Amino acid sequence: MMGIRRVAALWRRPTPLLALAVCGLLALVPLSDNAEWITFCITMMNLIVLTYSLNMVVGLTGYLSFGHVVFWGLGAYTAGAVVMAGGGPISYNPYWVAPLGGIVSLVFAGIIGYPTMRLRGAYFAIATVSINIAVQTLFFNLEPLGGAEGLPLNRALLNLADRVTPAYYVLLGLLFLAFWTHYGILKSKIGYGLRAILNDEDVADTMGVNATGYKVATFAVAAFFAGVAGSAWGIFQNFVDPENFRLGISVDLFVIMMLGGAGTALGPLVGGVIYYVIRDLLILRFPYLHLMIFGVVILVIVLAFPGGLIGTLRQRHRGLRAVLE
Amino acid sequence: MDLLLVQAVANGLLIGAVYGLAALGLTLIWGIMDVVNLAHGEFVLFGAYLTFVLFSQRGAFGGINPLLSLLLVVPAGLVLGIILYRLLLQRVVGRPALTTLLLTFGLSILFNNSLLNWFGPDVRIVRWAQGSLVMGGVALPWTRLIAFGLVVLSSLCLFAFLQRTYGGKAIRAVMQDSEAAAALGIDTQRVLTTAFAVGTMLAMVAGMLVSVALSFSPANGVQFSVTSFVICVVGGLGRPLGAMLGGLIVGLVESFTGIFISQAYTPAMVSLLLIAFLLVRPAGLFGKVVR
Repeated sequence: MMGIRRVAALWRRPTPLLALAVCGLLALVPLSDNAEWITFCITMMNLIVLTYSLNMVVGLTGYLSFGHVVFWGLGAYTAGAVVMAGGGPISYNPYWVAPLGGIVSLVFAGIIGYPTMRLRGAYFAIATVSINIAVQTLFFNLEPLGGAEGLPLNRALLNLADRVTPAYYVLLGLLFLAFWTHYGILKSKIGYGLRAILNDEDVADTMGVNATGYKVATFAVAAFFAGVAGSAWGIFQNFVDPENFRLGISVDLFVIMMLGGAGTALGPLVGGVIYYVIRDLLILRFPYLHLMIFGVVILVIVLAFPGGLIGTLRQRHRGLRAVLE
Repeated sequence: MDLLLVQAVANGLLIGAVYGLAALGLTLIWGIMDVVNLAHGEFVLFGAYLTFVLFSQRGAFGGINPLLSLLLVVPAGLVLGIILYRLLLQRVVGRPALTTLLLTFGLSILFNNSLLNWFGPDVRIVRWAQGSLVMGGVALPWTRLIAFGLVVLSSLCLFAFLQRTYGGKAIRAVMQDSEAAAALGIDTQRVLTTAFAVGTMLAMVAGMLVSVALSFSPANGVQFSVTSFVICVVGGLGRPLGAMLGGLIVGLVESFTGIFISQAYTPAMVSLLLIAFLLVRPAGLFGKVVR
């Protein structure tokens, strides 16, 4: 009986079903054997996972993590370092390394999160940028891992076809897991705590919310997703280099997050798909102007639709509030 | 070794002064309206590119002396600041940091990529007054000496403006307590507009100095923003004197890292300086510890 009631409850709150439907559609793409679509979707899913990671920090706690790519890059380099340790071709599928990238990023986020998440507003934002720059500088100069030239993962010796399909399903699985985690946080006690922190951290702290603990935990969990995505991406590309720490990647993430709606569970998914469709159109029509246009898009969203697509729909239509989360 | 040390100090102070001037603009805006302008580095670039265009273009108005270009850079900075404040910033002053940071982040992307589209990614420099003054084996490039002199001059002007004029006093009053200032009949919006315009103008003047004393490309925008921010943190938020001193410190850190460790590590060292200050003395050298 419990089972039936649970399924019925799902229909009343159909957000997970919507996400599941999108993931189901994405799962069908590799069947088409269309290499162009498949690569397109891999790139898109990678960015959507990264946006979920960013959204957990920015959307849920209100802390601007501008250097969020650092976790993605660390994941990529973890995969690179593990795969390239030793000599000769490796005997395992390199994608098994991906969770390790997530764990490295999680630990790193815990270490840097504990001191930096005590900072507020711009202090935190610039501290994360600084950490990103410092780590990137380190990898630029770290000769054992290829330095500025980067590190080809040539011990993995996989041909392209062997790399593409696992990357696709790793990222798809990760995408759904990221959605589910975000949705779970929203519905849990931690979610209420985070919302309290977002509204007024000092008040939340006095009311007994363990603000630092909640923030750092969320930061670390978010970093885990970025790390796994980075590892999977590095293995998929068969190459990692300091460009994996490029600050500019954050621009894409912020645009996706804000298009969909910061803090919402469906936001990154919806925002990611819209972003990719728009970007494809923009790059074709205005090959050099799309980043300028994205700057304007951010301005317009901040000033006119701070809730993004999902947030604005929730605000305008009472009925949609229960449907879209 | 000793000579190298003196050279490192000289380089650090000369460059640090230019950074300090850029940070002066940021700290003014930040201190008065609690908005951290992430597009500040792009304002610096605007000043640099404006000087570059005036200097390198051919024809009747070509080859303009960078010092003369100040006559255009200063009003351009003021006008840009006024327009941006009235058009955009005014709407978000007093809103949460998330909103103001995202707005200026959007501006930064827009401006930076506009420059990238217009001028391309090439690294530029204004080749003017080349050569160095050599004193006892220490080389002091003329451009950097002139830049240093101009920084001293402009900061003196700014201090005179802040201390002596009504507009400057009003800025300091609003910085201390905007409600009390408003109650005493100060037009807060007008003061904020002035402060934003002056801050933008200072960034563009610093950009003009960067264009002759350093090299620049659109990719430097983030670097100028971050450096200015680090200086504000080191010197203490909203403290003009702190910004100048912080600029010299950051200049010295960069120059010592470059000479004694490796040029490749300078960005990391500036970041480490920021993190160290945030952990040990978040209020900065001159800031008052609040709460």
